[in-house]
Amino acid sequence: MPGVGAMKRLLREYKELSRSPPDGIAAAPVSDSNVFQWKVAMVGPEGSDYEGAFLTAVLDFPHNYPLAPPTMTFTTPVWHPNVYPSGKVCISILHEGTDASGYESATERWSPIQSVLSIVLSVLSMLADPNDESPANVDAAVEWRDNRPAFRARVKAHIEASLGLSPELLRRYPASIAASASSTSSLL
Amino acid sequence: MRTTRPDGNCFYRGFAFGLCEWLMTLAEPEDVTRVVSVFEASKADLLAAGFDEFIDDFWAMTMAPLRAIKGGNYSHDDLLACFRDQERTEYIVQFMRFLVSLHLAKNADFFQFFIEGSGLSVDEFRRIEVEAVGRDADHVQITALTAYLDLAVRVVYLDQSTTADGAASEIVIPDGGRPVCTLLYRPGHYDVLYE
Repeated sequence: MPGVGAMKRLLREYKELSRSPPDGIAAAPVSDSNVFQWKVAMVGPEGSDYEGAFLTAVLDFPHNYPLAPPTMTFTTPVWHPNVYPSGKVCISILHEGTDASGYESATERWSPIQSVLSIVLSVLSMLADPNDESPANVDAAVEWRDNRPAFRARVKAHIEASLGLSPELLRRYPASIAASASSTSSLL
Repeated sequence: MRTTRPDGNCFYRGFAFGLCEWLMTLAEPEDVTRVVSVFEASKADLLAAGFDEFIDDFWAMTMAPLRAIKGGNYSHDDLLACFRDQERTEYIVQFMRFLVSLHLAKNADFFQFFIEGSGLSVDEFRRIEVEAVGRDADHVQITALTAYLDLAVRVVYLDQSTTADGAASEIVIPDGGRPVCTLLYRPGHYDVLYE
């Protein structure tokens, strides 16, 4: 029966993630009745433009997972060369096999040994280290390359929005914002 | 000839199928015992080499037909049904990839010489050219898989290497081994070939 292997594997990953939750990452199926869609929350990587950001995303798994990769779509705004304006994440490990064009053929592709955790870790490293060679968001890629201050300002505005705070508040109480960001993450 | 789906998994699928057929027909009982025990032990081997424990789903899916073959209660129709079942066949193919990757990891110094030309390190090659779904197998992968299992395979080439008098060239990997099956290679694709 299709999907049984996928369901078994997803429940196993969920159990594993609940037993030893990784720092700054939370992931779980949206409901008991649907293990093929997960919600993911993560804290922006330290030292990157996204430090302090609280980001959420949805993972949609195909019924032949882990033979084929899920798609990942941010549900908080993310201004980044490798994230489509729709929020969909574009990284090589979420692609299968070779592109028709042969492009990116020498990069790491999807393998069933990847998991929810390894995907989120790859996405966090993508946030810290954009790849502007095959941008999903051309405007963001151009701005990242040519006008880093403007890029950072826009990312910062998104971070503030993701924390539900006005820029005015952030300017006046920077310390309390940092505290609220970390307490949000520990709640998960 | 038995055709295999042209999806980049054809070497692994053709070889696994040919291996099972050999185990069911021509192999001596001691061959069957040895090969099945190599597969039995491979899970511990993979985990010891640092593979994620998720590999055990793939191992279990591969062991099912092998154990049944060893037990003598597996028909050719069962084998066909297994390899035509999308989920089972893909899990078995993927497990073959893990065995190749394992053998490359354990013998990295040796394989480095053959992989250098691709510009990749052994670890990169394992992730990009072996473990990734749908990547074709080439000489290095075939060498690694047959070496791990201590078996041989014959590959008949219908490509540019065809000899002047029109005969297809063929090789046995490893050289001098006793092939468990013959695969027909046409550029980009392998099928199982019968005499």
